Amino acid sequence: MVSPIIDTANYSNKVAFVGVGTTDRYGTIPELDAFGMAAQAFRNALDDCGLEKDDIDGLIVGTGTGQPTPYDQMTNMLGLHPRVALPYTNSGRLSGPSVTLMASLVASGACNNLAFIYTNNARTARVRFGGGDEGTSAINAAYGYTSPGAAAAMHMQRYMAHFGGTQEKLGAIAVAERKHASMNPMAVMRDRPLTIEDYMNGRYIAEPLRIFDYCIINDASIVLIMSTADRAKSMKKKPVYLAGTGWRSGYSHYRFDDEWLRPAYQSVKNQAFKMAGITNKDVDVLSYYDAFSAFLPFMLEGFDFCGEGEALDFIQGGRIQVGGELPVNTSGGHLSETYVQGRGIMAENIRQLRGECGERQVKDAEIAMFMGTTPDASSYILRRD
Amino acid sequence: MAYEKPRPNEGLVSEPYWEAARDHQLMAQRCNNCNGLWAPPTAVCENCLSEDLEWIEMSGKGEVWSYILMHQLYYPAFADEIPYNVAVIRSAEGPKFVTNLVNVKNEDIKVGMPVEVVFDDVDEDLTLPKWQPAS
Repeated sequence: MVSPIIDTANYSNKVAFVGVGTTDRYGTIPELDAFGMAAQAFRNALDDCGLEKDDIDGLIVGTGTGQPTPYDQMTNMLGLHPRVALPYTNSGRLSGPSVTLMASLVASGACNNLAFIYTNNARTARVRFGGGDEGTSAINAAYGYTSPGAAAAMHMQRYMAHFGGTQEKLGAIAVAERKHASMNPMAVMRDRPLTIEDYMNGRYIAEPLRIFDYCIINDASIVLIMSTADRAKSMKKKPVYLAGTGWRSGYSHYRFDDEWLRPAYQSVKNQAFKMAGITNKDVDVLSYYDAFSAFLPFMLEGFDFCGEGEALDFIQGGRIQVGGELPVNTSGGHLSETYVQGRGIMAENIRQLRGECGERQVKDAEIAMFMGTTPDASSYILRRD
Repeated sequence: MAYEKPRPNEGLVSEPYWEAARDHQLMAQRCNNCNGLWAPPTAVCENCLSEDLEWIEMSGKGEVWSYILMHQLYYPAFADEIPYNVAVIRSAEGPKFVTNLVNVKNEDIKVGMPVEVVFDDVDEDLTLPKWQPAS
């Protein structure tokens, strides 16, 4: 069904993330509009890498949720005159693939220093998800079937019926991510500890998923700057190289795939690992697109971190917590740190490889990997020298 | 009392599906080029890209592929039924249908249970195919 792996990867290890900047805090930021938040994060990203504003000759502006941030207005507002300027969807599913796009632009020479800005004021704007006509068609709404989380719940219910497993076992994910948030001063949920008992007492949204299985909604802006590997070596921070990527589209969980999207994940894994020249065992920091915790078991299996049907057991006993064998979403992720459609996770992966993560730092982390999902299964693999 | 839940959009592609539902028939589309069978309504065969699709009646037999219970209120007209079930049925012929299961308690629903279609005439203009445990 899926085409063979591409053989060449012109950008593998030839581009690097050089700058990361965020708003000074995550949460509710009513005093700044989306452009003000973006400017704050942009300044912080420039400080982080030591580049001047005018060094930024490529700009991609995520639409965000909440107040729209059209790329042309953003370009004007930041006083930039880039060689490349593009709008980008707000869909988090395309956060992993955005790394492929950035790398293509930088490695090809279309621009030298490319900034990706993504800004949400979803909390202040009171953005809601669900209640519309999501999914395959308006047919679903007639049955009260709505919201991305409901589709994730549908797959998890079937998974548990097929392989066994309990809601309590699934709760290990929310508990692990909340624990990571407690070690992250920026995390929205840093002061809200969560035990497995708390998890089981949490209210259902779409049963079997509970509120703690869902991402939070908050205000934040995050800016990521990519440059060529050569330029990166002379910048302020240690370069974080892009070693590999993978991307397969057309695999929506709204379409009820019988294999929990395994074919998509397998294809992405094979491509990204081949490009990066690594295997599962080499991954020090793992991350995934946690719009909902339920995606992690499907991805751990699809990317071969464990066998089919084993994931709910695999994640027990602290294995996915910092200090465990395979720490996952070490910032607290979308569930507990910040929901900026994948960019908070990207920032964390970069900072882990720089050794900037304080209490939650994964010791000697050299390789970080991201897994994204539905309908665009994706991955990017980062490494340091 | 007027029916206030969301109504499906009956457009060019899906109108025959809803017309048949009013006649208590569950339909899918068969591709006359490659024999692919599709639901929900589509304009084109995703396998061979043919537009030569023919409506055919399903047996109305199937099994619960998965289900959830909706506790969060998204549509006000569902408020009195929370938590209500939403199920995906895998029909005997293959295509999957999103639906509500009726004539069964939520706690008795099981993945894999055999079900059959029933037709809920919610008002003069709309009939919703729903499913119940097989007799």
